[in-house]
Amino acid sequence: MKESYIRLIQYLLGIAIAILILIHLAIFTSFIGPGYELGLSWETVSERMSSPFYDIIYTLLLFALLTHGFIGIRNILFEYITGYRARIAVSWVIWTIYIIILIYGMLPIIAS
Amino acid sequence: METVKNVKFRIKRWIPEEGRFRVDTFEVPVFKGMTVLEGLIYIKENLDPSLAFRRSCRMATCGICGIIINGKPMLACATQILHLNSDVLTLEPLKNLPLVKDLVVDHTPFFEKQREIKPYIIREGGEEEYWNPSREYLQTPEEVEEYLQFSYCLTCALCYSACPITGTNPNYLGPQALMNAYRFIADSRDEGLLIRLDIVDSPDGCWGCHLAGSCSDACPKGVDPALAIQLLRRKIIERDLGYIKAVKGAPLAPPLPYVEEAKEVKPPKFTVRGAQKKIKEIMEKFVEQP
Ligand code: SF4
Ligand code: SF4
Ligand code: FES
Repeated sequence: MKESYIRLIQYLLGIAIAILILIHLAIFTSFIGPGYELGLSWETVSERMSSPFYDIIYTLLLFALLTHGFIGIRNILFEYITGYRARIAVSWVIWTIYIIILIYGMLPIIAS
Repeated sequence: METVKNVKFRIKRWIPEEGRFRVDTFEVPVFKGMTVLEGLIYIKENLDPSLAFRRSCRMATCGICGIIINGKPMLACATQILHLNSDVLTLEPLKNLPLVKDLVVDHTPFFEKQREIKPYIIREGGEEEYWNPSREYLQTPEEVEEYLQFSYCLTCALCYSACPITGTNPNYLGPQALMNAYRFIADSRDEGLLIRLDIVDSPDGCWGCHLAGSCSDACPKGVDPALAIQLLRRKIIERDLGYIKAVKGAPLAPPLPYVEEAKEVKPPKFTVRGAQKKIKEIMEKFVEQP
């Protein structure tokens, strides 16, 4: 993939994260949610997790944050790992860890 | 000239035979307006003839005298000692370039990277005009403004030495080459936009930059490579989103009458004075034209 496509995805994810985090904060606070204390209670969280709307929001947030973070880590590593083959090897390692964490993060969403 | 004070020059010299640095200290009598380069010349002429450093123009034009002065990359010929407000100057060779001797570094990697971005006007199918230019390309003052500040570059490599990414990634094109890529892309005479964007679209190209701006801070000519790199990124994203495609370069100026007439002047058949007379006649005719 062209480097610029990766960077474009990175920019777009940055915008998406800003919007999703605002929604996330709004849910936890009394802005549209039940307030900070109640918003974190077991009942509220489990109730929320059974709603498809929140499932979608949290799946998107998890995906956006993980992808953005891993692209960032890749960029930092590429400053130090400069050989072509070494970069391919690093990419494989990074994206394998990414998939594992993504699946792990999805488990509670799928289970609810 | 009257000596204002004595200043210590602590010079970090690269000793190639030993593969290490050695610090030598010299006392230099400084007069008003004296530059660091003049201090170095004083040391070479009076204290240590073996000291190696580079200089040529002595007027901030050739860009060869770059060294690190008190931690900052600067031109030795354009830096007055008294302006540094210090009784001790620490001088080192530029960073991120192979060392040769004392303060001398090898600029080859720097120039090779510049060559990679094709630092010349690219014209599709313009071979003939390229090798045998007959006329100038038309450009408005506004079009010149688009790249003017970037054309002031001296290729002194101060920005290259200041860049932290160049320090960690030897494949990184570096601020000067990237800035120069933008300089030609922004030139309305050029048609190499897509070719150059492909070259710089890489983690070792414009995406490697951290935008800390050390390059722009170091530039003695006020060029802003960090800005050029951001503008390159914008161009690449615009290309990806389909906003820009191949560009058409500025047209050639129409032939001027006196140029055609001047071609008739055949030097072997004239004496120098005769040829001058003929050219004068043609020019006068041209000036008389409305
Ligand atoms: S702005 Fe970019 S090119 Fe300039 S010094 Fe920083 S990393 Fe290097
Ligand atoms: S951009 Fe400035 S610092 Fe860099 S090589 Fe050109 S003149 Fe020197
Ligand atoms: S000697 Fe030419 S720029 Fe300093």
